[in-house]
Amino acid sequence: MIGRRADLYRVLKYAALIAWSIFVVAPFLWALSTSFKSDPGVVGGATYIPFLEYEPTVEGWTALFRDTSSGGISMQGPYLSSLVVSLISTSIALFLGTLAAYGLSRFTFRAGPLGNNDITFFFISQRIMPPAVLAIPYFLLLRFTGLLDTHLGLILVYVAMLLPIVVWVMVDFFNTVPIELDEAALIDGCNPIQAFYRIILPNCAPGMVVATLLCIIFSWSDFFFALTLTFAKVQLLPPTIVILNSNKVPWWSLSASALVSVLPLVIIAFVLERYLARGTLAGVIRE
Amino acid sequence: MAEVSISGVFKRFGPVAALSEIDLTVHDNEFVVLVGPSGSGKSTLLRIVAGLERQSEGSVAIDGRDMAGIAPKDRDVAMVFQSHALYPHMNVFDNLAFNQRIRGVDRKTVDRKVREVAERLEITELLRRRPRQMSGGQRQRVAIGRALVRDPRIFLFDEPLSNLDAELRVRLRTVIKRLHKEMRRTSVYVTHDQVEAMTLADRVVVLRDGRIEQIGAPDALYEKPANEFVAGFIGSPAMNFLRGEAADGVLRVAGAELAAGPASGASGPVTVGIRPEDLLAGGAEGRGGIRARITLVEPMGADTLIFCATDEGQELTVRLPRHTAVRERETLTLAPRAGAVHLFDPETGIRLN
Repeated sequence: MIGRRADLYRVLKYAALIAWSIFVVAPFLWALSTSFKSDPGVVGGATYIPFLEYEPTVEGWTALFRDTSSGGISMQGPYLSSLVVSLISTSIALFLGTLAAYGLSRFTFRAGPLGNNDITFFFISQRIMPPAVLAIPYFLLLRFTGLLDTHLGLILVYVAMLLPIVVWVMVDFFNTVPIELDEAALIDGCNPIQAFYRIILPNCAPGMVVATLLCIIFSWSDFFFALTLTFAKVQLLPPTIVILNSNKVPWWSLSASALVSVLPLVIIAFVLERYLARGTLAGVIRE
Repeated sequence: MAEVSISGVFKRFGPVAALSEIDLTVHDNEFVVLVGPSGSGKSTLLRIVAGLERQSEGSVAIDGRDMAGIAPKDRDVAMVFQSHALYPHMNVFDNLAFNQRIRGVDRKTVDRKVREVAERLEITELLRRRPRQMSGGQRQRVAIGRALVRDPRIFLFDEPLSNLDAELRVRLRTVIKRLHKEMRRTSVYVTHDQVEAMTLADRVVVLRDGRIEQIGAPDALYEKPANEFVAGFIGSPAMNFLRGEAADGVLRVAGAELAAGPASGASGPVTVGIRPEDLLAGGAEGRGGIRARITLVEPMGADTLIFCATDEGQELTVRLPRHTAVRERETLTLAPRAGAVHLFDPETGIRLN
């Protein structure tokens, strides 16, 4: 009886998981299939199976790397730019944000009537404003400093957008680490910076993973700032892909570029996922 | 050589004084226990010695060198925390080795030292485990080991046994005592448990509300407490306190007349302190005997605790040998052991005899 109930539970569980997997994966399969089609395959109604229903072609994929002069998209440049901008801005935001969060978690700050919580809120409140409100000030600011349409300018804007996320996530994580660990490390021969990097930070790995993923996802897929703050010298991936939409839409190349642009996020998520689940902190405080 | 001199230390948290006028010298190789109820400032004092907290006034010197502005890592002190504070992301070996590695000690030496300490504490088979895979007692052993590996000038203990169950507490207490006997290192140990204080200390420092109430060897504190607070705090069950009157060398208490003892010039109202084991049953009534009715009997095995009330309703605890034939609601006549009566000023609590 118990065995049967357990079996039923398993069946239902896997049925639900399979349904969810189809829901998640189907759009990617659809895009994959489309990326090998050409005009007749797309326009003539829904087709699914290559060779039988449509004649597959690699045109959609080769166009990604061809020069614009020969009808291609030349995606390498924007791809590399996006990679550089998002990785650098994420790194800077993580470096500054974890230090700021650690400070807010461990030391008492006073600025007149304001204390730690107010400072933390100040960080987070930067994200209350919608990006559209910030676009014009950022535009003027970057033009004034000569950083408009440069990688550096965009990186600075992204760091400003990412820092609140990192601080917000990490303050919470640092607060769960008992201060005795810092103190033990200080007595054990660490200076405060060593205590932070060798003892506290490794115990906040799940928080770092969450913060990293949020940062990468934002900076990699941001369209708005990339569109408004760069135009000629610097081209990022999202605007490049969206511009394909303009007149005659090359569905095959659009699908291929969408798949390629999702790839880094999938890889990073897979690499970092194993650090997420682990309850590293279990056993720090006596139960 | 390691001597800690604390002089004129005050610590204020805003308007609250956590420590006032602390003067204390911990001699080389001495085991000093700071004991007191929670909020007495004992942990704060230890943390000031460690350098984790800064005093508002006064100075702390180790071997004559003023510690002002010297970081915890440069004081050559090791500390065992109440919450063990082992590094969760490292296994036991790495926890023990951490300090030596940070100091750049070579691999071989680190390896040898860690294994020596592990053997000494019987945790060799745990070296590959993570803190979360161990029991509370094992973790605290490792925490003690982490301090031992360093071979520091001074050991600091901040209630290391408070989170353990009673049996483990007794076992680890003897481990700590034995280690101290073997290694003879200057140690400062904080606890709220007066039994731990009595069993471990060369000298006990009793603190209350941030002030030192008394400093002395465990026996001295037990036999001659300087005031009513120390008398009540040291010893379990606690000392009995009765209202009494002293006049012409005679002590009137709870309807009985006792000899006030030699060298007692006290007269007028006094607080009379008698330890539960210093009350003997079966004394003659009237002169020398306190009549008390038994309200509760607690057999403890080795001896029996008897709770009773005098005719005036003052409560008394008596410790009698086991197999004493007493029953609840019976009346006892109790007489204090000669020379075991403590007299305190009822106003100030200061010892009078």
